[in-house]
Amino acid sequence: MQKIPKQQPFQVPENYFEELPEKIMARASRPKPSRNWTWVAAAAVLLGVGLWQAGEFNTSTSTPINPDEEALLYIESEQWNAEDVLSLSDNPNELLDQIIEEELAKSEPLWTEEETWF
Amino acid sequence: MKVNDQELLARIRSPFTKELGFRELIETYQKSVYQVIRRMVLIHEDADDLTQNTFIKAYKALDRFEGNSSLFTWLYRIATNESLTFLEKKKKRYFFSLDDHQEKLESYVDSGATISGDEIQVKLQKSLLKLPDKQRLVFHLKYEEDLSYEEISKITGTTVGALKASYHHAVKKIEQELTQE
Repeated sequence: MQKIPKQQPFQVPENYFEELPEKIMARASRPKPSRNWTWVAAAAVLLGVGLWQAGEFNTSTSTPINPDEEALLYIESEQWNAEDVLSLSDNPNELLDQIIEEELAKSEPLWTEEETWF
Repeated sequence: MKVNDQELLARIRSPFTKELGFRELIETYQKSVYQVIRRMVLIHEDADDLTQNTFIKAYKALDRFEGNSSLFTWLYRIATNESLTFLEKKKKRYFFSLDDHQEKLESYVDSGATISGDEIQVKLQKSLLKLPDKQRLVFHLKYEEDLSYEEISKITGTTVGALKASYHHAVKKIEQELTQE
C-alpha cells in the first residue's frame, strides 16, 4: 500500500470557487427549457433532411414510395449506417447526446446491490 | 444527520431564507464535490459542468430529501452518479465517432494539465485510468478521500463486502502498474 502515492489536489482556475456559487444560483433560478421541444426540433430537422435526401435518391422511381419507408429500406439494407443517418442532421453531436440521454434514462439505475464490481 | 445539516435544510426550506441557505450549502460542499467529480472526469471544464449539475439537482430534489443520510453523503451520491453517467455517455459516443474519451484523458494526463508534471503522479493517474470506472471510484473514495466502507456503502448503495473486494482489486492492479518499468 505504501507503494501508492496520494494524489495531489487538482488545480483550478483562479477565483473558481469564489465565483461558482453565483454561477450555480443563476442556473438554478433559470427556468428549464422543455427537453421535449428540443428533442422534437432535433428529430424534425433529421426527418426533414432525411426526407429531402430520400427524395433526391428517388427521382427515377416511377411508383411513389413513402420517404419514411424508403429511409427505412436504406437503413435495413445497410446502405445507411448510424453515422450516415446522423450526418443528415445539422447537429449530429447534439442529436447523439440526446439519444444517449434518452437511452440512459431508460436503463437500470447505476447503483445496484447485486452488482459485482470486479 | 448533523445538527448543521438540519439548520441548513431548515434555511433552504423556508421561503424567506431559501436562497441564502442554498448558497451556504454550495459554499460548504463545493470543494469536496468538485474534487470527487474531478478525480473521475479529470478535465476541469467537465468537472465544472457536473459540479453545477450536482447542486442544481440537489436543489430541485431537496424537498424529497428525508434526512436519512447526511447532506455530504447525499451530495456525493448525486455527484458520483453524475460522473459515472457522464463517463458512460462518453463511452457510448465512441461507437459513433472517433472521439475516444479514454485516449483524450490519457493525453490530458500527459499534458500535465491536471496536476504537476511529477512523473510518479502522471504514472498514478495513468494506472488509475486503466481501472473500470466504478472500481476507480471506490479507490478514490477509500484511498484518497479516506471514507469508511460504511460511508461509501451509503453513497453507492453497494454492500461493504462488494466494496472491500472492489478496493482490494483496484489496489492490486495499481501496485502492479506502478512497479512495472
